[in-house]
Amino acid sequence: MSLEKFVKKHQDVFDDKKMPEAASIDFERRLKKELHQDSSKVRRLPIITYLSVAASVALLITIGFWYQNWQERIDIRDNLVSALDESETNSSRLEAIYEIEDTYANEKEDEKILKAYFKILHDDSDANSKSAVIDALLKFPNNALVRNELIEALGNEKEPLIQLKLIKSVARLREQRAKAPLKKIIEDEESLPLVKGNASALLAMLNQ
Amino acid sequence: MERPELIKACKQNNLKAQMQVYQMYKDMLYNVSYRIVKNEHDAQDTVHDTFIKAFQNISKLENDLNLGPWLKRIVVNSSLDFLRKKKKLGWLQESYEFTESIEEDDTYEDITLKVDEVKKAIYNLKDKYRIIMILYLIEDYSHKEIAEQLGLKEGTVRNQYIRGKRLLKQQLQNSIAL
Repeated sequence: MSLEKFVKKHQDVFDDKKMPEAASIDFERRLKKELHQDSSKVRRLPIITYLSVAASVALLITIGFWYQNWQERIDIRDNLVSALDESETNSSRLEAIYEIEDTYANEKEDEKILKAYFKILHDDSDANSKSAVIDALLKFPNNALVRNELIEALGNEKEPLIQLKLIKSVARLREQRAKAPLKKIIEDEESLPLVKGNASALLAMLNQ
Repeated sequence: MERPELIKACKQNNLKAQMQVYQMYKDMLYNVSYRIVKNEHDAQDTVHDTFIKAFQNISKLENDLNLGPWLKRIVVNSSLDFLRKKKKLGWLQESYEFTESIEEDDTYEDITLKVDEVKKAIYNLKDKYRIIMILYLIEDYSHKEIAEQLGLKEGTVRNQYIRGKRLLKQQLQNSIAL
């Protein structure tokens, strides 16, 4: 018998090996990993869902905390603004001005606080409060409304100490629009010579 | 699941169907691979690579009846690729290119063949003879197909096969003499 025929006749002897049973589990795992990515995604879906829920809860807590914090800040601000009201004592108002300055030292100007400051600036308030408010307003030299209000206050103010403070303020701001109120102070017979002198000096500087 | 449905399901990347095909053909492919790589662990890895490749390309299978032979082709290729990666096919470059065919005069009629001894003797041959003999005798590859598979000339494969047969006969005669 030829070798070829012999081997063909006994082919089964060459096929005597069996794949180990454990290999099936390994293969199924590999098959799922390499060809069933979508199925994996489906299995991961609950994890993603849990993560989404957890993230949403965390976001809600953060928003809640932020809102609570924001609401507290609003309350504090409103209380401080209330303390600026003319019905309060001069000391409590001054204390409130300094408290606001400290609390909002590095923050953008707050419209409600500015309005309260402008009220103090224009009303018949005490000099200390007005002086403190002018210092507070000068923290926002680029705010057009603040500049307008300081110029307007310069034209209306009768208290010499505050007049001098306002003249120095508009000098720092280099406001050309301050010329009219400065002339008004200079021409006012009731203005103190010291005030007139400072006003004349600033007018001369602005006219240069 | 009937075969056409099974293959259709495999083409739709159905895991259950794929595992069913795996169970049907794993031992057959394992034997084919083992005969080439001669290591059980390597054969297992090669068979798994084969199934992955097959399932990735099963849409190319035109005739469902060819699934077995198609898988066998892939496992032969994968097993030879494995040996190439392991640099165990270096003998291909060294294979002497025969210009004249050796006459096949080995009839084996003069010796009593015992199947276990033949099997053992084939596995004991050097790779450059063993792989060609395995592909020709057991996997039903023609000399031309083996030549294409290994990148050799058909004449070289034919002559290596004849040499292998001679060496095999020599081994068997020696074992009988012992």
